[in-house]
Amino acid sequence: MSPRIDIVVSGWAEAGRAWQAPAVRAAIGTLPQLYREVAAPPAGGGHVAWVMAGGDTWPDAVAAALQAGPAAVVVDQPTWATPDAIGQVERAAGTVPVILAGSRTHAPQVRDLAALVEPVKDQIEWVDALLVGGEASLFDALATLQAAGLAVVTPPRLTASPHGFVVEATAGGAARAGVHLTVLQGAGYTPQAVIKAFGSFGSLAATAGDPLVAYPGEVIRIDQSGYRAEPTDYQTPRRVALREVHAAVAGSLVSPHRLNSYVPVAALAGSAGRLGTEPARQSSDGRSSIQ
Amino acid sequence: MVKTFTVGLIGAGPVTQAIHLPTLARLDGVRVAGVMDPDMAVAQAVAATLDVPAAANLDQLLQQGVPDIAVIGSPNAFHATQILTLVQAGVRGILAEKPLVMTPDEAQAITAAIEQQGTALVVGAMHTYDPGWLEAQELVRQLEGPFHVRSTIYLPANARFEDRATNMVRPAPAGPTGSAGGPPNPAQLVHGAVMGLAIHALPLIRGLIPAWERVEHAAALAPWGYNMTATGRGGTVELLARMPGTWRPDWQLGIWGAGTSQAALNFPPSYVHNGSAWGQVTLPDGATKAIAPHLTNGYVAEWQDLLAQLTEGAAPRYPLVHVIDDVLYAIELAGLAAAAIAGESEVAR
Repeated sequence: MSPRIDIVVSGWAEAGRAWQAPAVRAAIGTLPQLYREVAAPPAGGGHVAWVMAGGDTWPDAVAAALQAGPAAVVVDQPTWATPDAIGQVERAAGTVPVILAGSRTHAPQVRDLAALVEPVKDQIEWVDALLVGGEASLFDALATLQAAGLAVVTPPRLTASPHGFVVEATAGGAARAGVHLTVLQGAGYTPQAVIKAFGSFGSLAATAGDPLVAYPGEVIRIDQSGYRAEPTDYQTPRRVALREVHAAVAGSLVSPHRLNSYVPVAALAGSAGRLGTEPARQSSDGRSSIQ
Repeated sequence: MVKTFTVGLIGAGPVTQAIHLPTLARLDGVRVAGVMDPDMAVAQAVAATLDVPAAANLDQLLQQGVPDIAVIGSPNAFHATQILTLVQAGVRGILAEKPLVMTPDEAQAITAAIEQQGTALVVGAMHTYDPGWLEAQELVRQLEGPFHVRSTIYLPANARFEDRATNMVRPAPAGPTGSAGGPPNPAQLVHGAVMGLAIHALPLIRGLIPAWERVEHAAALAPWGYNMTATGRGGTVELLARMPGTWRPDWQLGIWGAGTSQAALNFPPSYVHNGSAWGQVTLPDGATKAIAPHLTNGYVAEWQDLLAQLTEGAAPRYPLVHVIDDVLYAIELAGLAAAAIAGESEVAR
């Protein structure tokens, strides 16, 4: 039986994420045989350090968490990342795995979509992704696409919108799929993620709701043989991430979401200039002014 | 005695066969009197099912008898000249499929002719008559901007829907042509796609984004479609379409405004008569209103509007100046999009 691991959640105040505490604690609470939440790191370390990573200072927060000798560090929803920041964190971590838990990188719908993408990745010609809710972060959005097996490989071209931004880019794969990504931010908006991929094989689509809620969403493939829906999975992205991290600490899994695997995404997000590395902000005329 | 209006069909393709004939069949007070198509075999096959004469061109159809109502379901480039001919011939009403015209000069010409003759005109922009959209529109008007609008149209081949709406008569397959042709000109493709497909959504969007400022990005999509982002007074608009392909019919309009203002609307594919649009609108106060699908669709409502004008002297739902402004809005966007991609050598993915 896998060992029960202590977990420390930190960085609420710095990240401005205190309002997410119930959701994080609920996710941990659904895994009582895997985790025990503690207020402070155990004396001998070996715990999981879950760092809430909104705002500018998350690399320092991760470095501070590493001081307590965790078995793994999870970076929860950074809104920005650069190759240098990731490098700084990885050097400080040494052999300790540092795992990215983006807003939807561990969403079961994204995971299931990635499994459908893999056998047809060289036939995908067009990707249309709509991400609504949360913080309009280009890094987080591109990380979601990477987690879905649809990583962009060209510098994104951004168009600002009153409530977010629109991205044009190209994905990898032999067909060099065009990628059109819309990211919209608004506290009043119904959170959703809709990712569609089209090609000569047919089409794939994943829909997901609010990542704080275990909304099942839908993952489908349509081709000449018909319509197939993947089994629904009632888990939040954080619960999936918690299980993955536990398996990584227990030694049975190498996480595909190691932070350093997102260096290309960070570089591409940074290539959009500071535009796209910060959340969209409303200017006085109501138009988005992504800083 | 109830007047029965005679109807002349200009063009006997899928729009006439799958959309207007089934719609006319359910209405009282109308009778098809003639069918015209330059492909005489198609015209005769369709006319035979209605026991009416067939014609190979508009002049021939008018010689057989000037109908009370003419339905223009011909290729876009012919709409304006056909409208002028029909108005001059004295038809009382015209149902012209979108796009109404292709240029501002054509718009000016038909405006003058229609105003002089007093011809009733309805544009076959079915979403503007869709009862689900009209219900949603009352709520959308309460939303607060600025707006981000997203129109997406992903559809299988039209034939899939045409064949379920009627028993289609199609032209005989064309033989091999001598010229292999070159790759499509992306600017022309996008221009045509805006005037042929995006134009369905544009009248709805014009209420939120009343004027264009610039096209930020435009590209043609293979096998057929477009990817555009444009900014205007009031916000940003994305227009995405790709077809045909093996995928679920997906025709959506998303609207995001200030605060909680948002709307998500779904439209049925063209040709099939499966009811109206549906979706939901969330108002500035946070209340969400569901738009359940109505049993009728915009196709029926177009005809009801035209017949009400002719039988009761009712005012049109959309006066001439409104439909002209709708088409000029589309023409402007099509021109801006084509100009934005002029010089691209490849059709974008």
